[in-house]
Amino acid sequence: MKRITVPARPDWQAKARAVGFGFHEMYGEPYWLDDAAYVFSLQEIEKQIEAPSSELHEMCMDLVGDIVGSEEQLDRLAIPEQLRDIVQRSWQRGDRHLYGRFDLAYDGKGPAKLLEYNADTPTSVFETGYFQYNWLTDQIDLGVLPNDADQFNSLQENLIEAFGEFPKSSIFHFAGMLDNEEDRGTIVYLMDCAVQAGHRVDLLDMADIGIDAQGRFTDLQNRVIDRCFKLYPWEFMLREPFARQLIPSGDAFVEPAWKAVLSNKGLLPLLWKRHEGHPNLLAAYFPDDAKAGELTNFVRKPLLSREGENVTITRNGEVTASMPGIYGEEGFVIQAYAPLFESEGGYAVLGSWIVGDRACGLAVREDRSPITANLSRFIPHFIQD
Amino acid sequence: MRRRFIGGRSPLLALGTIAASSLALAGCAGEAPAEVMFTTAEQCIQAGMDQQVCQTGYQDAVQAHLTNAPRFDGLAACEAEYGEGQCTAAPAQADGGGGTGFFMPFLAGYMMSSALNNMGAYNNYRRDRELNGYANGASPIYRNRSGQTLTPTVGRPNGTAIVPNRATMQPVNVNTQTVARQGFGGRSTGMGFGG
Repeated sequence: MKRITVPARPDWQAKARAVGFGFHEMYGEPYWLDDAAYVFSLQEIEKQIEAPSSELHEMCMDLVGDIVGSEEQLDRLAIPEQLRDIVQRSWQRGDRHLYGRFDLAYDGKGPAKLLEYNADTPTSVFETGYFQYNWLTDQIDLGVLPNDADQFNSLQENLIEAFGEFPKSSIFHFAGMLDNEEDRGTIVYLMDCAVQAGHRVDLLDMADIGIDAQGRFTDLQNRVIDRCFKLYPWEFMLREPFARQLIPSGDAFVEPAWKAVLSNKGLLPLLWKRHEGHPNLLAAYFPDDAKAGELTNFVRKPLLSREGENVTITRNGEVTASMPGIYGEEGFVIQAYAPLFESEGGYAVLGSWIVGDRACGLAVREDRSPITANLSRFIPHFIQD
Repeated sequence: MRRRFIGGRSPLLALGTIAASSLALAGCAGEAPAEVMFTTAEQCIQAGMDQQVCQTGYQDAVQAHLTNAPRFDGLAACEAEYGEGQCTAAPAQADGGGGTGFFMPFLAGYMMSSALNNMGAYNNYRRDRELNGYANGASPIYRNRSGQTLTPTVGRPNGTAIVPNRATMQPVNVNTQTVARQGFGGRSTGMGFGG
């Protein structure tokens, strides 16, 4: 693994504009970098990223049944008591899931370490599956990269295949916070994949979802929503005014409700307890566990948090980095500190995609801070031996 | 041979852009979204769809209608479900299986994706649906007494066709009345919630 600089494609901004990728700049900062790249060997991709991601996903899936069957563990994950049924039944019914992204710490030396599983609302899917792919083929055509340069990326074809597994009798609705350009772009890209899989689709804002007298969810045309992808966290849905309606009608949503136990940082101590010493896991504990106090270099993360908010890093008893935020009231976990790949570009986190149950792509983001947050940048990667 | 991850078809965007809003998808403000039901091929063409796609979709739906429309053994039974004047005698099947005094509802329309803007796209859509156990491309749509829109399910367990009846009909995003909205998304801050 290394980071290199390359000439940017001369027309990349026009290409971004042409496909509506307006958020290649966010908060006045560049988000997409066209003139830098991470390079991996095929062996690193296969042995250190792809295979461990498949294994971690299996370990997670294996744990879901135990968690949803244990009141104590659901307490630990702060799943609201009166709504546990929604989560449990979605698992028992086998509600189909679509995708997720592991965040891994990997510096090219030891095994990759699991930082967290974004199993409910992962973004950067368009950047990975579409824009990064075209970056590679363009750079090969331009002669910047050799013909045999490859990329760990079959994300889009896997998404189309996974959407194809959902029944097509009803409209596939897509919902989220549409006033956010990044979220909307992510949703429309996934909707595009669904169209390519043969679905009829419709897009609406999360707040525009309605209910009818029978407690079914409805769209703006007053049609019952039979199936709906939502880029909106389950932990919010379970605490909002329509939460009760999820009891009869929650099975409409993708990701399904059982993903709430995987996208929760409480998963990390539960995984560690089950697989203590696993090479791809970091020691992780709930704060009341005596072993949490034995860690000298550790990261404290809220159970429920997005974009690095309310995360603090402590090294040798001193807080070396922390992020403000709105999260933390549900509790925290303590995870052993793992160094990230560090270069002149900052700190890199590897996002390893799971679609259906298959590891099928890589997204590298880097940040000036060791806590990857909303000002992180997306850097394309390629494989070359 | 050395394994390669990419090298097949480069990813494409069917909608062409990820900046589409629901309004842009609908084609014009406040109109129906990417999923559409047409009552006739003419209405489909007037809506700006490709003429050949509209006609083929209609023919496919009529085919599915003849094979899969729910059958009733009397006019009254059919009308009880679908409304007075909304049923007709089922025609004799080409294979000699019909013309037996069964009744079925009129086709209210057909439904398909408005993203299908040429025959190539339609053929892919049809092939895809066939792979998923549907007989046809566009779906036949019926409207029952209470205004619900319905379509036949077309399962063929063990290779034998199911005899169409009321139980094989399923609601398709049935029309209803919304009594409340704004029950989700309350934590909106303009910030995204992906991660």
